[in-house]
Order: sequence, then structure tokens, then C-alpha cells
Amino acid sequence: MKRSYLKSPPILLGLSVLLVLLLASLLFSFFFNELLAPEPRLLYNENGKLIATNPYPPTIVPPFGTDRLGYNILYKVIDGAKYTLAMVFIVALLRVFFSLLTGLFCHFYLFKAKKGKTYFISFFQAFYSIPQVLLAFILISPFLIVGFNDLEFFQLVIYQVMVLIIISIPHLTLLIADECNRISQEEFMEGAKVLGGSNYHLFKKHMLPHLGRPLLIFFSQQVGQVLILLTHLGLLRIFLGGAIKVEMGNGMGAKFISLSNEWSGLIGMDFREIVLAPWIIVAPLVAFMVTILCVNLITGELEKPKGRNKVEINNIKSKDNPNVKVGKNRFTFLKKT
Amino acid sequence: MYDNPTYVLPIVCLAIPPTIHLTKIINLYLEEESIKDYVLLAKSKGIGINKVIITHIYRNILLNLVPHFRSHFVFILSNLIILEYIFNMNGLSKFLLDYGTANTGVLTVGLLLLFLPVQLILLLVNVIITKRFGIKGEYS
Repeated sequence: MKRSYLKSPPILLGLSVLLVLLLASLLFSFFFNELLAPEPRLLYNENGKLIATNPYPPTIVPPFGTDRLGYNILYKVIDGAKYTLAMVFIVALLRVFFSLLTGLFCHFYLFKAKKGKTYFISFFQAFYSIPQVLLAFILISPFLIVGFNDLEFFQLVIYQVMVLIIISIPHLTLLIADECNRISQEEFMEGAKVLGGSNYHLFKKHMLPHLGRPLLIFFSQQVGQVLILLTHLGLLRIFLGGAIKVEMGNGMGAKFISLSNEWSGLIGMDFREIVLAPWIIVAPLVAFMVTILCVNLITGELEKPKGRNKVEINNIKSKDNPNVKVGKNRFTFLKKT
Repeated sequence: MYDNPTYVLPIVCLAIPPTIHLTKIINLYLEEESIKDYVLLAKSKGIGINKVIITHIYRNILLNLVPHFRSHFVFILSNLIILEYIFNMNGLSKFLLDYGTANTGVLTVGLLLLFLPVQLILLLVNVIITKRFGIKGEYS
């Protein structure tokens, strides 16, 4: 089953692009880390004439230009890829995992209780109605106020990941419980129950093989959702691992800078630049677009209903007359005269 | 010039993603509906395909779109939060972002003001559809 997924071209393409991004990012941080240094603030030509100052456009520093502090944006995006991708995959994986646990609990115990289903479904649906950005912002932002709730870097990251996981669990729980309900109405489940299978046995032997594909789809969908959620949070100045304040010099005031070069941070801290120096924000946006496109490719391919294996008509040979092949038209005269 | 509030660009920006989404959904329903028998009958009577789609198929799939209201509403709302931030509009969701974190009372009242009217409308639509068409489903 897994192998057939890997054979389909869209999934292969999406996965390979994501893997290449991740590998490039890891290799970059191990071997080419010294490239991530600011370029000189002012640029002169051979005659000693000033030709450009610090946000160099892509024409001077290809392919994406530099930002206001002089860092090459391409290197920043490649460096940040590993944080974003790792974060997104971990969050999506944990979301599906914890929702699977709660979904199974709901399916086997809570929804069987008297009136349990009505109450809990309305409770879970309330969570679905509130935008996730709002919930995440309200839960995370109090911990970003400097000097108020000072957390260590890793504490902050773990807290952010926890929030991102928890806000989606109610809705995903409902989806997984629905899926379990659908499976448990199949006939073989009836048979297994009559033969006295315990809940654990029912889940392990009969449900899990059928849950694999829906769970894969949920995971893929969640990856896309988390990516979009991260961009939104980045715009609202919520960066992974917090931010530091940097004096810009040149009388430009101070700016908050994301500690990791993580993509949503890159977009969030510079999105006002879209009026002044659009190239600063284009590169992270392109990176996000490529990633979301890959994920959507994979999701779309997974969601397609799996057709029955088509019999190759071309290769069927007539029994009486082995020389005649039945063509694509399905109807050929065996004896042509 | 600078005091004039902007309307057109934010509204267009807000409308683009749901439009694409709805187009996809309507396309799916159209495909599903157009293989039914009454379409064949209408075609065989010599009615043009545009007329069949507009007067027959489209009417029948409109009801299927009602269950998508809620998810689209949430989708638009979460985009609105970002939109208000980008366009510097001082709307309700900007207010919630600014003051909701410090004051849970503000947050609760704001969310109620935002969601209660829409949920009531959805409930009303649900009741009307159940009464009018006799369909029992989760139309909310």
C-alpha cells in the first residue's frame, strides 16, 4: 500500500522537493555557516563612486538581494528551512497522534455514554468556530512580553509547539471519531464483536489497517494548515523561539529580529518592507509557496479515491487465435477477411 | 486623501480565497449532478447546455452549499484578522488582538459579538431548510 503511494509522480515530486530543501538547509548549517555574514553597508564601484546602500536589490546581489542589515536573503531562507519544516512536521505529527488517542477514547467510551455524544460534539465544535490564529495569538503572546514572563529559549519553543498542537485537537478528534464510527459500521466489525473481541483487539486488528489512509490524509492536511498558521502568526510578530530587539543604526530606530531565520519570522519582521524593498519579503514567500504547493500536491493525490486496478486490455490475447490481440477498441474481429 | 478609509482592496483581497474554494466545490457538485437522468432528459429535449446548467443543475446544487457556510465563515474570519493587521484597519478583530490577551472579559464579549449573530443566522437557515425541504441533515 505504501509502495504504491511512492510510485505516483505528484507524491514523489512533492516529497523530493521537501527533502531537498531540508537536506540543503542541514548541509548549509554544517558546512557553509560563515556565508551568513552581513555584506558591507555601502557599495562603491571602481571609480570610488557610491552605487548602493544596504538593502541591495537582486540586480546587485543575485538571486534575491539582501535585507536591511546586509544579510543575503537566499542564505537566510535556506538556513531557516530546517526550523520551519521540522517544526511543521513535528506539530502535524503530534496533532494527529494525540487526536488519534482522544478520538479513540471518544469513540469507545465518551460517545457511548448517555447523551455523551451531543454534549461533547457541541463542545468540540465551539473550538472549530474560533479561528486558530486568534487562539494561538492569545495563548502565546503573554509569554513574549520582555521582562514579564521570561522563559528560556527551549521552554518558549516547547510552549509554542504545545499551543499549536492543543488548539487543533478538538476538531481533529471529531474527524477521527467519525472515521472510527464509519469503520465500526462495517460488517467485519460486527463479526469481530460477536466473537468477543475486546476494544483493544478491535482497534489493533480491525480498525488500524483501515485507519492508515485517513490518518495519512489528516497528517498531510495538517501540515498545510500549520504552514498557513505559522505565516499568520509571523505576521502578528509571534516568532518561533522569540525575538530580540536590534538597533538599526542610520537613525532608523530599532527592530525585532527573529532569533532563528525561520520563514514565518522572516516574513513577519519585514512585511512592511513590501512598499520600500519588495525583494526582502519575496524570497520567504516563494519558499512558503513552494512548500504549500508540494504539500497540497501530496494531499490531493492521497485524497483521490483509489480506483480498482484496471485490467490492461491491450495484452489480452484471444484463446483460439493467439496471433490476434484485442485492441483498445475492445471489439475486433478475430478473423479478418 | 489620507483620511479616506479604504474599502475596495481589502474586500477584494478577502473575497479571493473563498471564491477559489467555492469554485472548486461547485465544480465537484456540478460534475456529480450532471450525470443524473433529468439532465439527460433536458438535453434530449433540445435545451441548450447553458440553460440546463443555470436553470436546472445550479438550482439543485445550491442546497448542497449550505453545509459549507460554517467552514467558510471561519476561513474568512481567520483571514480577516490578518487582513485588518496588514491594512491597518481598526476593526473588531484588531481590537481583540490588542486587548484580548490582557483582559479575558473583553475577549469573551468580543468573541460573542462576533459569533453569536452568525451562528443564529446559520441556525435559522437550518430550521428553514428542514421545514421547507424536509431534509434532515447537519445544516449548521
